[in-house]
Amino acid sequence: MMTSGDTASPMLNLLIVDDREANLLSLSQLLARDDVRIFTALSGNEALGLLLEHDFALVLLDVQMPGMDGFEVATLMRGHERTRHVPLIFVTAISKDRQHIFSGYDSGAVDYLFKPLDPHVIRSKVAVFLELKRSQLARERLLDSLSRANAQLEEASLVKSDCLAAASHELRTPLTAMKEFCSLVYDEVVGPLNPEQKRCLETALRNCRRLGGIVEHLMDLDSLETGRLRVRRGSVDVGEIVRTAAAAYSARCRSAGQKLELSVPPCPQDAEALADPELVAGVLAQLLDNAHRFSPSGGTIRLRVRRLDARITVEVGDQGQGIEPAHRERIFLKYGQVDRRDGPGTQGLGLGLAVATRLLELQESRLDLVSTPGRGSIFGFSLAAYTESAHLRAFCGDGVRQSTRRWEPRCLVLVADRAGLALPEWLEPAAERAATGPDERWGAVPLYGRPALAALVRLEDPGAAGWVAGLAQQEPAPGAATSLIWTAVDVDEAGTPGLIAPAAEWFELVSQEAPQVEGVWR
Amino acid sequence: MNKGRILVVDDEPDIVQSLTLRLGAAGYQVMSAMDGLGATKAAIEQQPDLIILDIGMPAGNGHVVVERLRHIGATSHIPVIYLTARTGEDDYRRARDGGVAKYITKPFEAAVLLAAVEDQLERSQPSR
Repeated sequence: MMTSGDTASPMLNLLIVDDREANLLSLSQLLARDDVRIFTALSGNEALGLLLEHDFALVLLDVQMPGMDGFEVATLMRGHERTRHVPLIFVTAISKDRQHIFSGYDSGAVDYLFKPLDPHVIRSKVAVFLELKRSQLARERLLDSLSRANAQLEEASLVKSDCLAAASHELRTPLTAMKEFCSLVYDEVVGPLNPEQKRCLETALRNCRRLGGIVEHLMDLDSLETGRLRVRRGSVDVGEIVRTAAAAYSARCRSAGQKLELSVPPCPQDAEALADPELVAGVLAQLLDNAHRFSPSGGTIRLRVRRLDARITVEVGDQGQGIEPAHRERIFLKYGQVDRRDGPGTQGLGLGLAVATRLLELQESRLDLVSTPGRGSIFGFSLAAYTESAHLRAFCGDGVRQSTRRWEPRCLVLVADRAGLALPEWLEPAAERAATGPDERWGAVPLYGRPALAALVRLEDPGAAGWVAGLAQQEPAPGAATSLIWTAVDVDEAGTPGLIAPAAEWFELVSQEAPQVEGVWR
Repeated sequence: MNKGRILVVDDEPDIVQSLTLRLGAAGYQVMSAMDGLGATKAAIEQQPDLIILDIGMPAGNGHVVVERLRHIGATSHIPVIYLTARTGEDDYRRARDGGVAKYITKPFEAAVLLAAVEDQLERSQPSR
């Protein structure tokens, strides 16, 4: 029944189906190869049995057979997941009419051969399919090894993060003792100092702080890369954040002889953006630090907040040496500080701008740079102006992005709607459609006991209002991961959500500590 | 002068010594412990006005100490300031849940610590 032999390349299986023993024998001999194992079947039934047991590179199928003919076998093969994609060649002695050929192609044949068979033609055709199967197997092996390599890389990245965290922790303790003892002497807690000694300790302390800053930055950048940072966007008064950041830097700038100029819109609404306040403050601190370090004494640092259409823009301008076009890309990279030897700040690892860039990416923004060598640079970014629907969109988007990054859902939105409305695509990955049937099914929507964070309910749907009211009176099921938050949402035909009810309550609830969700349930 | 009695807990002798010098110079009376068990004992026996506590320590880490102190009547009211090299989200959460008054990370600025100490002692003054 079969020929076999262990060779370096894997054996491929070939199936020949014909109701006449003599035909099977001659075809088997014709197609015999060292790297091919040939199976034969005398009937459609026998062929289907073999197809379920083995993986075939190709099937040569006789059309005219008693009982189940070749077309029926092909149709059954196409109906089964395991055999659907096995290539088929029909072999037939009669019926050369086109009708027959088309019916053969319709049932999934990839080719058609007529008896008497030309040995050359059939050998080369079969060889092509065997080659195809071989390259498919090779591709599968490659994919498999790639996904294994990928898993190893992810593992290595985790180890790297752990190492960084451990190193940061280990560095902090000796650094603390070092800095604190310098500071005790500097503050003359243990005895008076002369001015020269005081200057020396000042330098030691400055470097302790720098080292502390580096340890801090390493961890920031790592948590950004590994997606551990939680983004929580909401309404943010950018003007207020800029004022606070400027106040924190004013003393430092004054002692370096630098002027700090502030320009913020008088009306807070013109500075209200959709952003994560902590991340915006982080970006501003990096940009101010950068401007402060690279501005000369007597220079002016300009901070400007403006509303331009639907964006709130923030700019930090310095009067440093500016950045040559050739260096632009580099400064946004990790450790990629441009060498500016005679500038006032040649220190620093240059992590700051990389951190700022990442922080902005998380808020769907980016860092822009306008620079004139010799005159100074302006670093800027813009944030979406605040609207409720943009907020809802961002909330769901942030949740989804985090969940795909970390493979555990942080936010699940249940959409209960009767009409089966089209969901906007940004919502689709996070949504489970809870009910799409007639009114009665509202009662069967199993929300409690599910780790849902939110339900979007279209209140004008029949039965929906009653369902929500009933829900509000239910006790959460024991073991439910969280209580349920619901709101009324109106989604128009274009799929754009608009909140019917004032959404303040919704966002207040949502912005509380996000519940831990275990596993995906879909 | 005695502005208040402070228990300093850290398994690093250098940190304990620097804090003793710093707080002593600021007019506080300082006592110390080097691990979790020592911290609990000292808190019960010496009744400090404030505890400055490390988290990563042998014989009961900072979180365990806080939990113990909260369950003992004689110590449940003593305010705790964390002074730690740890910056994990879990540590922040446990600090908040345990009612820790202030979370200061190492390396710290002496002025920040002194301000926090003064603030805490002022707050707990009426109940003393």
